[in-house]
Amino acid sequence: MTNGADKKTLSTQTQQQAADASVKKTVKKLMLMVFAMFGFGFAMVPLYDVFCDITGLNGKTSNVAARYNATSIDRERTITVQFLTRTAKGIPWQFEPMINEVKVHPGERKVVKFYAKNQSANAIVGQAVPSVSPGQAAIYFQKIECFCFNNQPLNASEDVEMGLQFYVDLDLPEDVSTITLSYTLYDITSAVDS
Amino acid sequence: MTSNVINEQSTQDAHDDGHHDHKMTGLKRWLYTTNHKDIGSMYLWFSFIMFLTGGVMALVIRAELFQPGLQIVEPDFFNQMTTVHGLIMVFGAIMPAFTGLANWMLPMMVGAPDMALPRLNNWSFWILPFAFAILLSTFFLESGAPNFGWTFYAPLSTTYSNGSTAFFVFAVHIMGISSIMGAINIVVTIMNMRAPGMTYMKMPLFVWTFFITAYLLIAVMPVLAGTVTMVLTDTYFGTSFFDAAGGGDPVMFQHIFWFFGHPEVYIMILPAFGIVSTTIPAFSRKKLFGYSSMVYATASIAFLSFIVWAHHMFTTGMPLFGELFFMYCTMLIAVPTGVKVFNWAATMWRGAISFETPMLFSIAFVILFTIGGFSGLMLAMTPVDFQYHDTYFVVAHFHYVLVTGALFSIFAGAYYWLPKWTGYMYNDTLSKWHFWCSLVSVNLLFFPMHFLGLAGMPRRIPDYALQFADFNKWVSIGGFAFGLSQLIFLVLVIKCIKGGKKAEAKPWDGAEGLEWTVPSPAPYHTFETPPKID
Amino acid sequence: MKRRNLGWLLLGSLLSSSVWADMSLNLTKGVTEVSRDVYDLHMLVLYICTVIGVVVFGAMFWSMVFHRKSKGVKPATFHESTKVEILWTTIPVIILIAMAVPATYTLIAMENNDDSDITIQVTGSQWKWHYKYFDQDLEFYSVLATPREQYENQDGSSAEKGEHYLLEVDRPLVIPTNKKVRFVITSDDVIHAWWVPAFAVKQDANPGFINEAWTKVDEPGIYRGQCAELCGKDHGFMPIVVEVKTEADYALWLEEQKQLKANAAAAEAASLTASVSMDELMQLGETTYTAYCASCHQVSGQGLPPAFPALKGSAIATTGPASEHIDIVFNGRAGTGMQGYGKQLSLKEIAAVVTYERNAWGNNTGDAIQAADVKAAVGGEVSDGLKAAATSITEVKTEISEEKPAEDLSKVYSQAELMSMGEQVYMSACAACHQASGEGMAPVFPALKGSAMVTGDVTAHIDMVLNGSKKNPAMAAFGSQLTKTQIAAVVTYERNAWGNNTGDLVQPADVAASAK
Repeated sequence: MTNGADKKTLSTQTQQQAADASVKKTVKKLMLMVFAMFGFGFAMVPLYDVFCDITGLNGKTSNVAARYNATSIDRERTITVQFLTRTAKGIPWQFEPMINEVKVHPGERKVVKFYAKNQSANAIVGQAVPSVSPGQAAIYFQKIECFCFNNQPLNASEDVEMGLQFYVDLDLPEDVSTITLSYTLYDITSAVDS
Repeated sequence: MTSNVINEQSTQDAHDDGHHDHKMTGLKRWLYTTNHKDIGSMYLWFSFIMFLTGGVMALVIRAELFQPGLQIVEPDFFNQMTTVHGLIMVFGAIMPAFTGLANWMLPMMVGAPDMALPRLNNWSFWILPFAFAILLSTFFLESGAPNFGWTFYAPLSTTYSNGSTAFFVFAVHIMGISSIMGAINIVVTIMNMRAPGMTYMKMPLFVWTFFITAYLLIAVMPVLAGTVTMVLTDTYFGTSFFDAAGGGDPVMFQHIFWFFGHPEVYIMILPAFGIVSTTIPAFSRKKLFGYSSMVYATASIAFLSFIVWAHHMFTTGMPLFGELFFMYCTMLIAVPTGVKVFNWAATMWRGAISFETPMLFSIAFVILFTIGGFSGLMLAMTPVDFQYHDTYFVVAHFHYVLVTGALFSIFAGAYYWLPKWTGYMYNDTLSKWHFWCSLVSVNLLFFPMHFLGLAGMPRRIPDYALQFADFNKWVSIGGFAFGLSQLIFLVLVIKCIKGGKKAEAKPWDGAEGLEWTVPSPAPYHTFETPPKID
Repeated sequence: MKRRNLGWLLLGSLLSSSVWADMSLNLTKGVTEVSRDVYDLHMLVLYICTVIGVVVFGAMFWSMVFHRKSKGVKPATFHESTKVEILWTTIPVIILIAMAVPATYTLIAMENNDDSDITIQVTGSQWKWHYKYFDQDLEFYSVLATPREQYENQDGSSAEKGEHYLLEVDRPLVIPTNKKVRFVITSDDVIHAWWVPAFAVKQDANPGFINEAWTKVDEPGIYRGQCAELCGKDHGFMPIVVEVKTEADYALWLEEQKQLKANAAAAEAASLTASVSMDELMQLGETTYTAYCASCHQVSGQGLPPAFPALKGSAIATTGPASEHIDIVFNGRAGTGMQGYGKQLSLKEIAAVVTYERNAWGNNTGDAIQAADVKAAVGGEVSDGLKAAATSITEVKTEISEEKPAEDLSKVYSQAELMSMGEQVYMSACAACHQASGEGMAPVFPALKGSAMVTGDVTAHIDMVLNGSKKNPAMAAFGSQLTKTQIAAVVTYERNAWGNNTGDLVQPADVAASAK
């Protein structure tokens, strides 16, 4: 019965055709799955951003201006907000917070300034990228106005004071009393030019 | 094997001409073949060659690490070695070996004449050598080969890569296409070509594990393709998926990569479960304990593999709830995996055990894989993972799982079916030498790595502090011994193809399954008329 | 190679090596509460795994010994037992829960970064660490201190390896005991990971994002760790050393750092006027090059193309303008592995290394770059560090002057006395802006050489130094920072140096008169 040399019969041929049809169907389904998963790989990019927005994963903050809608100011709590800056490779800018840390009450609006100076002899476009730690605080750290929403062009030797207006959401979890906001400054001149 | 199968083929042809175009000989036969046995053999040989290639790279690594200081290679070349070693072993050795076994055995096990899509099968094999040729060609570039680790974390693989990224991406794409086509073929074959009467729950567990693995491949290989595409565009076309300067996030790379990467780990171990679930009952002369729970355990491991990926990333700065979620899910995997181990032990319990070489490798698999499972459980504990992460403890863990796990199961399978493939019994003494040399050296190679990791040696470093010197010396000696032991296997297989004691149709008295109902060596065409299963 | 390995093997097995004893076989207990919790957790899981292993493997070996075919046993036929299967599904679940509970508590403790006493920004870059003390105006790079000849043994050379081979740095991070120290971790280029096993702290440094970790160490001591994420070529060569001091020692250390920084700034300011000989530049350049540049561009200057281009014969280091060359060294280059060394090296070192690169390996351009050239090339303005440094100099000076008894305002100095004292004061207090050459840095810092201010009315000049400029905020008032004698000397110096030769001698009494 297991000898491969058996001749095909008519009935096995019809069976064969039926089998072929179902093979085709399965292949189609599987190919669909392959393409769907390839798409899913890319869909993970926006999904990740959404996920970050909801959870504050990785300290990513929203890059659109928040509207101030705190109903009150919680004077019982004081939150320390620290500012850190870093310049990325190859950007000859001086970039630092003009104040290292501020104490705010949740719901209170606060303005702080950052100083940037292009120390090179060329015009350069900089882009500050914010990151908040602890990550879970990122969604409660609301930027009403921030220089990081736009890029910042500076001519040679030009300097600028850049403002950040923010408030800390009233719903900030109880266990958070310090929020660190870090800006990394990148040279995006070539990206803007092209 | 060649001459033998060809002889077989010509006798077959006398009865069976007309509907198969396999009269070609020489190179053409292998280039154009659509026969699952030919393709299976090619996959197996290819994976063995890749295994030796990747092995040589491992030996370069171990030679450099034999003593402190940089004696042999530059740090950058060292990184190329670790990267390409990883890529070759994962995509070139383990995965094709399983595909080869699937090609050879699946049609025979389900009573089908061939794989469902024979021409696709040919294609999916023949693009593989090109993929690896591209990957290996990077060694001859000025920039050298990929040096960013097989996990190619951005931005090391994008902005800071050495110029080999395009080749790497292209090679991975081809490997991915090959794997996907292979997987589609497996699924279609299992779903459509089973002999009448073989219901899903009557399939051998081997078939089940490959069935589930193929689904995993179809689900995650496209995600890998997506990841490498993003790496490609980030490197060369100015996108910023993983670059903070342009609004991207390098940590997102790791999320997408490990969404592929974790199921990938199970892709390399589930088929191993299938193999030992075949061999242990055979040599215990007792049915597999808890067949249905084995099936469910495999399926639940596959499911869980999709929701544990971030346990590779505990130190990337995840929020607390994320760390807890992934810790709990990961620990949960221990349950179905434990069920499997207990079932194998229970299969052996009160059996009539004999220790042929496939059984030796299977027993070694169960014990050593379980050790790898234990270290996996330890790694799952987030707080402690902060200490283990990216140290040699991790290296020890995944080599226990992949070498004494996946690789040993492949050896078990190869010894188990070699008589069926070649028609001859292999040299038993030589096989015992192979086993015992491998067993001793593999533990000398990987066990001390646990201690190195606990003592604080990071992975992927070309040179180390003096306190790690003694253990590294022993690890390197173990590495060379293990590498040399594999040459025994090569000699044994060649001898077995050339001749030896004639194998019976069923050389193992406890073996079960349709593959043993055909003569040894298996005729070129089997089950042209499907067998009936009760 | 083979033969040598064999020799090693024999030697190694004959003589049990002395370092053997140094490596603990187990995870470190560490020196913090968290690290001890982590250790306990590790041991708990290890014991549980061992017990499970003994039971399962025991059952397997029992079968292998007693249920062997060669013993003539008949195999049993059972192949299912729902009861047993439920049992060995539930027992592991219970064990896992028992493990998860303590793990959860430890993890919650580890992730509580709040209420820290000290914050330190840790930044990884290829292949060094940078530490910045929040609120302390103190920052520095920490690089591998093991000499190159100890680990580059490709040519068979084998310099004796030191005790802390590859685990030593030039400037360790220093933290106090019993304080909650929070690390804010980030990266300048690729992903690194900051790991100190004794604290059980390991956090990835992600470019553009910050991560947090904290520690509170009980015992003073030196703790060593390494980068734990593959970050390129020299991933194995960027160790972390943390020196934990008692609180008192830590305070002393901070003071010392301030003093060192002031000294460095003074040296920096002095270097601006100094004209260093070619030989000296080349010598300093070679040392600096070997320490900072050779790991990528290679000692031979041939680089590791394409990632790390050759400098030998390259356009940048030969035909290109020196200013561009300096700019790349100072600021780095975006999108490549080339980082800016402006904050890591002094102007003099940068000048030396650029000189070296332009003259070594047959690049013989003959260019000798001075510190002042570097400053001119990078925008000419006082860099961040310098400004801070200048402030701290004056702080130091104030302290010194306060220690002195009340000055004798009636004393009359000779021109030579005033000029030499004036030069000293000028170099430490004025040269950072007005330059040692008196040429200043227009437009913010005007030239003094030949300027109307210092050659015109003496009283206006003294007033400017005493009270600062009303128009230009950059000109600080030095009345409270310098003594009247010092001001007298510096004004005299400015009026007579650089060919200003007014011949005016300003005495402390004149300054005192102006001050009223």
